[in-house]
Amino acid sequence: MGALISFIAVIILTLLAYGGVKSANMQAIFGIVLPYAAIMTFLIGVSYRVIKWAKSPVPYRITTTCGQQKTLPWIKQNKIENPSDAMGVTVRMILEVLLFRSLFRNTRSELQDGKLLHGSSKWLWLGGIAFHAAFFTVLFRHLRLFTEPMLLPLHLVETLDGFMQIGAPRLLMSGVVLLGAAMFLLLRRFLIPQVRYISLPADYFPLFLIIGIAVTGIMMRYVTKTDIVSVKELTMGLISLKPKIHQGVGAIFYIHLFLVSVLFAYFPFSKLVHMTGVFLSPTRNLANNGREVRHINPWNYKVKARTYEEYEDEFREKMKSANIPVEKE
Amino acid sequence: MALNNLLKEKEAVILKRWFDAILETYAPETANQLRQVHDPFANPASQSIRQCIEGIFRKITGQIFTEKDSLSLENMLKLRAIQDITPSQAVSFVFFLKMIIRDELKNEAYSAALYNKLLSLESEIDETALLCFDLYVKHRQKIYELKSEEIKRAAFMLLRKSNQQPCSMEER
Amino acid sequence: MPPKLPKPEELANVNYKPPKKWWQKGTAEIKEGFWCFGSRPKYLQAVDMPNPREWKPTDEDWKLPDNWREIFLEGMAERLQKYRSFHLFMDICVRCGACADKCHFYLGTGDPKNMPVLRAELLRSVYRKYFTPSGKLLGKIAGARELTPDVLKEIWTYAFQCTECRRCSVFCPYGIDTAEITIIARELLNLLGLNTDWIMGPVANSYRTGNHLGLEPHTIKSNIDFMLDDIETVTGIKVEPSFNRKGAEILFVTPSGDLFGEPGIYTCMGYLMLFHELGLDYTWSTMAAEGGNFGFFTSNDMAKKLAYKIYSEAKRLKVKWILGGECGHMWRVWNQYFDTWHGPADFLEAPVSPITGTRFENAKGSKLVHIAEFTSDLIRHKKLSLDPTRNDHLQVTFHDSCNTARGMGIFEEPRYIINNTCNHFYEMPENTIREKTFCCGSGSGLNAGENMEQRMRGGFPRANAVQYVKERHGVNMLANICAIDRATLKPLMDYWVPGVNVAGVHELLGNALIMKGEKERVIDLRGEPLPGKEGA
Repeated sequence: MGALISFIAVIILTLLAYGGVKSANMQAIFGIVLPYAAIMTFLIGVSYRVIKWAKSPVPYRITTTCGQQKTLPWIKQNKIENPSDAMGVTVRMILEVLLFRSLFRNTRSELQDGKLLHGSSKWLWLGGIAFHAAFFTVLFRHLRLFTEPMLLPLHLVETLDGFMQIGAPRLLMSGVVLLGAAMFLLLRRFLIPQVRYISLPADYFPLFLIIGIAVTGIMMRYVTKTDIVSVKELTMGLISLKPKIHQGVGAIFYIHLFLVSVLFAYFPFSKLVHMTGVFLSPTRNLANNGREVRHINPWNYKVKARTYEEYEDEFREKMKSANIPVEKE
Repeated sequence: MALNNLLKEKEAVILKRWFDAILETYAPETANQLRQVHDPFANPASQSIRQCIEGIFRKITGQIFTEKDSLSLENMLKLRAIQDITPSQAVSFVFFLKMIIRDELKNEAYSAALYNKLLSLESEIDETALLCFDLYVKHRQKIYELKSEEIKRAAFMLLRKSNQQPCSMEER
Repeated sequence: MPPKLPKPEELANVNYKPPKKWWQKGTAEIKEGFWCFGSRPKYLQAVDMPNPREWKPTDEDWKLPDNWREIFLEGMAERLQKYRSFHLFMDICVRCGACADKCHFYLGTGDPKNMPVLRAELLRSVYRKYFTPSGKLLGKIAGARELTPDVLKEIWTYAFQCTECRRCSVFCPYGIDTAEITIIARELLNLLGLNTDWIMGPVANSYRTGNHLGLEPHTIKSNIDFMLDDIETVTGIKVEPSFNRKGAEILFVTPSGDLFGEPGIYTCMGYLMLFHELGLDYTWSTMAAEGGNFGFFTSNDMAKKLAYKIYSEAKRLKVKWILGGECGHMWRVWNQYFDTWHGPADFLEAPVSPITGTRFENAKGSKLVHIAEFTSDLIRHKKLSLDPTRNDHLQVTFHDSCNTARGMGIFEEPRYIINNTCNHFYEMPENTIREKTFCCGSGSGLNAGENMEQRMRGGFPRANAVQYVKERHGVNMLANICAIDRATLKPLMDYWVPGVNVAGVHELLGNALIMKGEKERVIDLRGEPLPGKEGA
């Protein structure tokens, strides 16, 4: 049901853009107003979320330790999985953010009656990393629409991306991988019972949205062969704050752009903020050195605890008869 | 064809249906989890069920019922004994086998000999069910024993001081 | 509940129908054997906790205060501002499902609400409803739920079906720690007087007497005297520890379970023998005779109150540093909270082993040293004479306790001690030890008696792994460094893997330790004949 709601929502969005451009001639709305509004929502919204999280302090050093602690000199510390200094934490965070270290841990292979059982759990890691890597490559490639002349790294990425040398225009792997990985993540939600059970509409919606974006993007490049020159004029207009609508850009472009706008605008209100949140996660970005260095809790306050005097007052006679030293005879 | 051969031929189908039927006694959410995950460490419960029903199947079809099989039977009942189910539900799974075998054999030509064999097989299943009932009760009792033993262990010093069980080391 | 037996025609055609989504219905069945008794009012009153009353989890009416919803939501708002962990973990979960099959309660019960992600979603759905625009606007579609009495009961049920073991957090790509969420959920429930009796009783005891069991000072001493008699029976050596002695170099603190229950006392005897053999200048404190802290399973404030006595006694007795015994959550607290609460410990000195001269660099701030660190350092420096053959009848495996594994990372030290005191040591499968260790199923105050079935389910994955090494290597001893493990793994083994015993690492050490001037040992610390000495 959650999937259906989300699917219908994305279809409606698509039709909205199509209808808006085709019959109502609202190119200016979909090509200029909404993209600006979306990017503003994204920037303000995400900053707001990050500031709000950052305003909540980290009162305790609650590292999740996944390896040997720093201890006696002859015992080898796992400096990355159980970091005790900033260096270790940095490496841990890099592995976490770029390589999804924790997800990779999801290993499952055991000998049972001499038969090695392989876990399917690495698939989530693979799907996840393919999805995110492809997403950022595609995003990066789109910078070509916003820079003149094109930057060198863009050429490099594009060359690498098209290494398969198939077709004309050359097939870029990132788009294909993005679509494939998004489909995989979606299928997971349909097919794995646990995951289906926990999935909310908010989990399906961004997937459908991204699939929609990828499909329209791929269609523009390989099928409808959208006039890239006109598109670039539009995007350069947007980035230089002199927006102008060009005829000759098909409806499919507006659908693509609208879905992207929705994604950006939706971002700060959704689970997609995990992109920024992961950096703040206290179980990962703290060193496990709570016994070595004192961690300060900004809202620390004194509590009323039982004092020794109260304790001795209650038990003095019993302590004396048991020959336990007391303060007051 | 001899009954046992017939059953061995259909072993895979019967076991699968039996396994699925047992899962039906769980909440649907739970059932599907048990069905899907195959790693014995990630899904120990379903592993126990599989081993147990394979063992029982071997037992009633006259194959070797090993010690391991009897252990897996015990494990299964241990599991049933700590689940939120009634005693009848706990042992009902054995009777499922009867129904499944009847259903699987409904298209076979029944000779008198085969029919008689089927009857004795069903008696064997009944016996297994009784055995399971014994095991179930044994493990329910075990739970209560664990509770009382735990209290004794927790109050070990108290019991010793009052010269109750367990006695002091000197006297042992 | 009437028995639900499928009919033959149903069996012939198994039909899987997806169940309703949790966020569509949302009520908790409180099932027999799953729940712990509600806290008695006297315990809450003893420590000034709100809303004391008689109540039972199975009652329809939990006698909540009229403004319970406001209390809960205001409490939530306050904690969102105080804990980045809580705030962040409410927002960034993508429900990828990586944690789902990592929880021992989920594996043992198959109940989807025991998947860590869903346990957190129970609270998250309330968060969305009252604290996020999308939840306020879209309601159920955004996975948001009203806070109804049923939802509250559901949160209660699953907050006390989580042992705060952090296994899920190891596998979460964002490090979301369900323990953090359970801790907050329990704090909120405590605002409404909804703790369990098994947690609240020890809390009240610990406040008054310093320890969970409510042992008064003279009882602590007489219990240890009993152990001294036993040590004398076994070794012929009279050990004489001191209590509340000022000016000792070291204060020794261990969970009170080691002072009273079996098999904890054998571990305690191991400590006593070790310290005697070293001639260590140390003292016990009858007030700080509890390293464990059930306040940690109640609220941050309560944990802090109960932890206060450790430093205050160290200060009063003018010791130089503190040595801590084998315990799980005690070490989570000591490693991650203690110094922040009650530091700086500038009245103590950076800990140095008086025997080997080793400086414990990793404990130089809080001055709290783990006994496994202390002992493994001794063995490394060859300061102990050990006879591992005395443990030759044991095939040992080691259970990493959740808290020391994932809230500290003490893996090699206890293994080093075991390897030097036992000749037969076997690891359980790799996915079930170290940071991936499975919980005993009874941690975080769930080791009550009334929920024994729940505990047996929760401990099933752990038992399963022990069964594995028992079958392969004949393992008959499950060693650990946690007092709750010593108490709870025993029934778990008795149920699932009969024939496997449970011991603290320092019990194994006590047996292997050759003491100066000891008589020929024929029995071990439990009074059982040593291998080869059966006829003696």
